[in-house]
Amino acid sequence: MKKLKLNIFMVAAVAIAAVTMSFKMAEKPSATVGTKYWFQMNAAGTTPLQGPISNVDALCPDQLEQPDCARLYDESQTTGTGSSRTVIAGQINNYEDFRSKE
Amino acid sequence: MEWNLKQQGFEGKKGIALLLIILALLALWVPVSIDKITGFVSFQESMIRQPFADWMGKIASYALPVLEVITVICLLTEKYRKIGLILSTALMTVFTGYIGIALLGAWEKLPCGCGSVITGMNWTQHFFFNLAFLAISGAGIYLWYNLQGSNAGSEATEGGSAKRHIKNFSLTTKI
Repeated sequence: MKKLKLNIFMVAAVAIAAVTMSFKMAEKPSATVGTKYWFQMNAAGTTPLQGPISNVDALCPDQLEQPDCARLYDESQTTGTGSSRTVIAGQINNYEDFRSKE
Repeated sequence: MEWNLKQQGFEGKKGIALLLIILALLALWVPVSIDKITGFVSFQESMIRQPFADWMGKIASYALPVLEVITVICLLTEKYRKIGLILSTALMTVFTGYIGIALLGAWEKLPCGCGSVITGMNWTQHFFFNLAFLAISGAGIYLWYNLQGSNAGSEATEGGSAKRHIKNFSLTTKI
């Protein structure tokens, strides 16, 4: 029987691509089902202000070192509804993403 | 089935090191290029927000995924592996240099345009991550030339014996 010669890199690349795609597909439902909220930080950059913001790119376009302009939280890390929604005190430093002041 | 590693020149410690380097580079470039292609719209937006002219951002948003895919294809192909290693080093040099200049404060604003592999990293972490892969790519080129040199040397000493060629050809790791 003719031997099948495999290129280890081709196999590895296909495996990596498959894992990447499966992660991306797994990410999509959670991103649409689990709501995320951006909160602007106070002047000191330590505490999220009340009420999520929708225009984070306009208010805080930069991501540098410090999470002192805005932070992203999952719905489960917040309490309240609408403009009275706030971040639960114990979750303030467990943000999922952040933006920095210029 | 057999992995034809020895035929591809991956013998000895240096050969295995080169093999691991190429696998590491594939583990970087495959997800990064998939992320840029599948999330092209947001990638292009983030490139346009970078602190250079919009037209440059647009060109870069097309050029980078294309170059990354070419890098992957070259790394996969034995004939073009050297080009893949050089492209990988060149791309990493540009990315590392860009972040390095930004961290030195050359630009006032630096919006994030990170790929999926490096989401959640700040710019300093991103810089050292890139620096590590730049070193890995550089080591890959060094090892590639080193192995090509030693292979050429061994072929010269062994001569063109058909028997030896057949013997070498059958030294493959079967699975």
